[in-house]
Amino acid sequence: MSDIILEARGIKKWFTVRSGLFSTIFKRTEPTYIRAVDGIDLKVKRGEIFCIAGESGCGKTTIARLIMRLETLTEGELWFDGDKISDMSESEFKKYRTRMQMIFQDPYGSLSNNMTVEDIIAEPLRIHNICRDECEVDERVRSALEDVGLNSPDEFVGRLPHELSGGQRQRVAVAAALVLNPDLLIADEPVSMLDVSMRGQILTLLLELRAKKNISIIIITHNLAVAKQLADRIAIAYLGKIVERGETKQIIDSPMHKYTKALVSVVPVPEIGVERNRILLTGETPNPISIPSGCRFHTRCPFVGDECSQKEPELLKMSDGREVACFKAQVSDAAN
Amino acid sequence: MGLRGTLAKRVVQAIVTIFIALAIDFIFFHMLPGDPATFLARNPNIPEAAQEQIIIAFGLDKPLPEQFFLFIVNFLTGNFGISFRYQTDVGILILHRLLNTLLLILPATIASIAIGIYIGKHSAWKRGERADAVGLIISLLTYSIPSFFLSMFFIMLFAVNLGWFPITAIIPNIDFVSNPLLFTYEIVRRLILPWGVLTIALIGVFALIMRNALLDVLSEDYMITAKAKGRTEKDQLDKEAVPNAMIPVTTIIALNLGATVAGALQVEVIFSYPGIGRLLWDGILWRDYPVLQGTFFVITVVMIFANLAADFLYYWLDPRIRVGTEFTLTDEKKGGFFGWFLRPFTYLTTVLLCLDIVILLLAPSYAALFLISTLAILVFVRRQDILRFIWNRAKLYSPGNLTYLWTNHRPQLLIRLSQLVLTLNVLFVTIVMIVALAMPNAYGLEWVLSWATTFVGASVFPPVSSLEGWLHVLMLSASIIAHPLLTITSLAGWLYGYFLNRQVQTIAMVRQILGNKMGIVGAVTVSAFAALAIFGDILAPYDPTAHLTGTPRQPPTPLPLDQAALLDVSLAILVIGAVVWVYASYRNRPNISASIQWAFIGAFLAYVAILLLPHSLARASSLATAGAFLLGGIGLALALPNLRSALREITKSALRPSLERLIGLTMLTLGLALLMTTSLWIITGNPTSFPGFHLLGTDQLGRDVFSQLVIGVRITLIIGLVATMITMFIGGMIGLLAGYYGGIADSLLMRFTDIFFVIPGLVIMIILGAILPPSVYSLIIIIGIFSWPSTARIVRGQVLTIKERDYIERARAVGGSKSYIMFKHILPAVAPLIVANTVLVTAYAILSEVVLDFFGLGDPTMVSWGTMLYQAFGSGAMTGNLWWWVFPPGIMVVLLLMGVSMLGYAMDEIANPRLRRR
Amino acid sequence: MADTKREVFLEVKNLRITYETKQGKVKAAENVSFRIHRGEFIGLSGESGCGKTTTALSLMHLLPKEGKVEEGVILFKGENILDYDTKKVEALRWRDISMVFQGAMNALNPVHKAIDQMITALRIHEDVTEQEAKERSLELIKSVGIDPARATSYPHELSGGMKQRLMIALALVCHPSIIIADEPTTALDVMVQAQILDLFNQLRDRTNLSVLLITHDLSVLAETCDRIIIMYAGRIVETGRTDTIFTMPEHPYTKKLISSFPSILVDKEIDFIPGNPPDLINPPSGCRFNPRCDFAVDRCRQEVPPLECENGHCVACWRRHEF
Repeated sequence: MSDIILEARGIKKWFTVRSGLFSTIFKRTEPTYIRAVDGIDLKVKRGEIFCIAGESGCGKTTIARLIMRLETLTEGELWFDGDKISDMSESEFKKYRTRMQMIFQDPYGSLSNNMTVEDIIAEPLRIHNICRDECEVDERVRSALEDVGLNSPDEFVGRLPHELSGGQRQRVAVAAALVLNPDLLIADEPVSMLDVSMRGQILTLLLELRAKKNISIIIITHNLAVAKQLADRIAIAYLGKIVERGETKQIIDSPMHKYTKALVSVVPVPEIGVERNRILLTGETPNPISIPSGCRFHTRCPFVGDECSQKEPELLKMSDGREVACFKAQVSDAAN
Repeated sequence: MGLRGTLAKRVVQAIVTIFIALAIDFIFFHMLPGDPATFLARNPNIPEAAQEQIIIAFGLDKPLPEQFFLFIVNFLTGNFGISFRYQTDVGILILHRLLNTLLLILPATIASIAIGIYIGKHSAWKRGERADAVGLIISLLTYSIPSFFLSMFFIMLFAVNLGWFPITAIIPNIDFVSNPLLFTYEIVRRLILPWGVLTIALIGVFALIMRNALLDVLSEDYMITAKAKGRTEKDQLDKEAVPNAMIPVTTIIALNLGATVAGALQVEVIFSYPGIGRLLWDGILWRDYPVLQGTFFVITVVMIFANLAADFLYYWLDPRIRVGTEFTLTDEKKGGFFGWFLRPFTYLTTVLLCLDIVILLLAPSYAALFLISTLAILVFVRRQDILRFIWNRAKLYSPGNLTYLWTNHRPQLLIRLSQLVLTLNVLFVTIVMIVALAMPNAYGLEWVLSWATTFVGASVFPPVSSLEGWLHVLMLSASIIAHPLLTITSLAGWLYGYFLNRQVQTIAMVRQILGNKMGIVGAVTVSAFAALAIFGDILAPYDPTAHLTGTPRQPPTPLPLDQAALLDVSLAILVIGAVVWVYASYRNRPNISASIQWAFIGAFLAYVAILLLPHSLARASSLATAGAFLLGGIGLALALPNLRSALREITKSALRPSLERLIGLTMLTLGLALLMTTSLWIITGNPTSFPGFHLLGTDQLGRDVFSQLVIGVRITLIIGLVATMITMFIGGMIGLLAGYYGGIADSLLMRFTDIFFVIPGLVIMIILGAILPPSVYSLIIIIGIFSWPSTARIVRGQVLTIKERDYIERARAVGGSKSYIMFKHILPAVAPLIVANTVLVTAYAILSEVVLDFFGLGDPTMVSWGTMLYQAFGSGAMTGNLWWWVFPPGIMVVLLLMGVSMLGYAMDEIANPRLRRR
Repeated sequence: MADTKREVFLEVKNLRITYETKQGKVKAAENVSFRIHRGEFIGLSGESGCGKTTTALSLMHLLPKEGKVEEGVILFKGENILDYDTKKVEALRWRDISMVFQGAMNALNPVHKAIDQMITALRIHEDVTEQEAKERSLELIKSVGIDPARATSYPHELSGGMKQRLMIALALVCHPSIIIADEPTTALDVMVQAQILDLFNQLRDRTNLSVLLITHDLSVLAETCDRIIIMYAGRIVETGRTDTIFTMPEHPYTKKLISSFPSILVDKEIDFIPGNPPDLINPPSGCRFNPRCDFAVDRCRQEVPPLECENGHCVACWRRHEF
């Protein structure tokens, strides 16, 4: 049981862009690709909360869907607890599905409206058929409800999703994900649709679960402030590649990659009279169909050098243990 | 890909559809039972020599593939062959008639589109208010009137009685050059009525299309911006909403052009206007196949080009396609569609199935044996999976589970048990079927067919067979378990359990339907017709098929004075009661509690049941007696629980303010009760006390019109419902598969559906009706096969939206297989929409059935409204002003269609998320 | 900056709005009162369902059919716009008060070109020639940072950020006195959000336009607004200058809201407000926050606390001075 629960080696996901009926069927014209995930390596330790942050279109959700095999890999390998899961057939892979679960962003969309709370939480048990009979299913559903803080199960068991508040729904989603006691939980923007007052409830719940059951959690979010409160390590993604990865304190308090610096400098804070030198980038994230040559960020980077547009920088380890993919940062790190 | 690429794609599609239309055309007339050569021989008025010449000319004696090639060459070069009846070239005949039809269709369609869009626009803008209700009623009314009945009505009113216009619309032989004014005057005078009918018949279709499209647009965010910009209400509607709504409207109008062709067909027949529709009618009468072949092909080609034109308009209107780069994000899985195909098991099954089909064609008698052997091999190959599946299902019935279910999920237990019984039953039915098929001499196909009819309750069970011996005993004992009654009870158990589980939602849905005024009126009308079907045996005084029960063409006998007086009294009470009720609601007096209203309704139903019971016992009709008991039961179930609270409220003075309402309600119920008693007395009593009494007169063979009317409802309802079940099944399945599996399966299935959309359904139905032997089954199959595309399209749209929802992704992430997700998540979410759409399709199925009957293609042995009108039209009832023979069946059809459409529309408004009120 | 001597553009006095729904009458907003001065940026904040958007829509008579203003007065430059007839309302909309919507993705009509939508808006309220309107619109489009060449493209060809900039240009086209911005940046990425907020700040310095900025995101208000109004369950619980609200919040709900808001600069413990948002069909009696408030006493549960103001800082809480 190695301490790395999940490892991804050079995973890629390219969507082919076809225009016209003929080229789809007869594959005549050379297809152009949208390179949503363009070669990413990940290592998640057991019991660690790892966050992938970035703007929309940077591929963070696609990474989660690749791990959960909701999308097929174009290239690369995925290892789960030491076993190579990327080439397994669906039936072999089904056993591993019990050990990795996912919760989604929209509390209203992620619970089916014509199923009671009990059916929703019991669904994973019934799909994998691991309970000896309905009584055991019922017990495990009730204990899962208590785990997520809905402590009077009888009141919730028979209710339908539209009778619950946003926070309660997200708790039911977490309960449904935990009923199989997974080793890895992927949370795709778990709190972004909730009111601020409810977010804390879900974040505290995730921290408690990590402490109690030693589950490793991958958080996908665009909100760096939430990432700071929750994650042990953060990886910043831009246009399908990881540009910087390290301990939360390092990334938030002293970002080295220019893109992370700009992002952190611009996030609004609920404090007044705070002097910050903001780096306001012009334009928006380019279209993933035509990714700029060399470093992907060079078209918007205020500190662009000449080699930035020729070569793509590698993700190198810095002196303080973090990894950065930016020539300028690597040079200044080597200097001091 | 831009505009050019999409349009190229559409043109290719159109060409492909033309070829498919040609193929269908060929199949109709060359491969169906009795190929053209035999038709030629049987046709009296073509001499022997001419027949030889035609056979050679069209190569009818050559092998099938060659015939097909020759057929395509001929058709594409416009050589449609020689008409049996007119002995002239079919091509020229059709071209000439086509021009006349276009003269009729174009002005009417343009007018109806304009009026329809106007009504739909205002109906959508003033949604929920009076204008919307009026707009909806107009649309549903015009949608429900069959064009042929409207034409007969117009002719009798304007031509025969008022004499304003000529009865028939024959093109005058004044040539245009010499006297243009007179020519146009004559044309207009003759065509005013047909144009009027066609316009009115189509307003409803276009108004509904516009209303739905606009409702979608009005809920968009940019409409709030438009309002915030300070635009006047008129500008918001005309300049911001309508341009967006016109985009979907143009396509749907194109897809519904089939309705215009069907309408024109009927109008031309009644007005004997020399258009392509009339040509089709003659073709059917004279079984003139080259003409039928030619007309079908030409109409389809015209429709395809109309659709192409609409597509071009669509792309011009919508900037998102005209300007944007529309590209498809495809996600090529390893191997993709063909990868699935090469998996060992699927490969084996396809090979074996092809083998079976080949054997079926070559040596049908051995086909059954081969089929069974293929089944055996497949089961053997997948035995572990099947065993595991059975073991898992068996685990559900373990004692631990059953006790758990008994304690807290009793409806689930009922479902599980009925599922067990159903699986056993289906298993034994298949075993019996296979054994019967495997021994063609002992049982064979007819036996199986008669077995099938027992399921519809048409014949006695078990079907008789000549064989004795142990095998027969085994078969009989097996058939006990495979008894259709068992299937129906287990299905009923399952449904009842399902509803018990969903009690809250179903009651909410029913209350919503009853909350919607249109829903109530629709539900009441439909149940009235259902009651008519159940109590038909009592209400029909004579046997509808008995000839000369009175002198032919006898007008309705006047009612004796006392009965007439009683009728007037009851009607008067009813009217006063209604006035009082409306006055009370006008002064918005507090409404009486629901319990009192239900108490009154329950009492009334019980009273009617008591009235009908003696008659049904006297007539010993088991259906009517069962109906009477059921009605009585419902009445009491409604009245008794509410009676106590109703009495308490009436005695208390709490009712002082809503006294008028109470008076109004009592008068209404009393009036209705009196009306029922007197009318029952008239219907059943008079024929015996006054021999030769015919409430609605007789037809040309002296048959009693009223009895035909009453019995006629049964065949219409049965065909409508069974055909709709077929549509719901086919449309639902195709929509589900196309929406869920997407990719190539989706585009193939959708192209297949578009073809059925483009080809005018009614035209095919009429032609098929003329070819296939006229029977109830062929009618059901024809209607079922050609009315599913709209369901498929709506279901697919809904499945596509559901598929994107997170809870489907979550089920996939947890490990649910494709089929598990389809049945556990997607089907329940789409089910309410399928049901609501089915009711709308029922209206279309009933309309098609009536039109087919009117074209004389119905089952001659069955009495139906369509055939009544067909015979009325045939024997000149129109010109003879026999209103009592023409109007009643027509009005019954309109009422039934109105009821079904209103119910369907109310359910659609609840089930269809797009239409649901925000 | 909001000294009282400056001209008052808009004054709302104890506004009460209800929605008629199948489940019952939703009490969306109750005795809401505030003032908007010339050139002032006011933030209106609160959680979903607190009535902020309902209040904003009522200022321009944009309430849906089910919504009804039961009580209260909205004075725009002295006149109560609730008594306006349709003619005057249509004149008021976009000329005096305009709006930027959250769903910018869908707020622009997909079948009209971007520039045409601005021209029509301008020509509804001022009779200018087509050419003159086109020039003024192009001028505005340039000022909000959009390349004028893109002006003739359709909405679906523009990115999210550009569409929001276009909405702002559209809102400015008739030079209104007040712009209501309903969650203008919620649907945008962090970087684009910063660009749009920067644009709002430029507007603040360059023009004497006043803006009512509606958002649930307190940190956005901290950077852009002069005064803030916090609403809960349809009622105003606290209003005041931005710095006093953030440094010395007095209402328990505001305190908890600020403390549960994560910040990237300050290390904060994860905090939250227990319980669930209130049901607005039959809201709790007295102060509507009492079921979730740690300091609630019997009085809070019976009587509705009035909004008491002390030199510009108003709070609706019985125990305001006790802690």
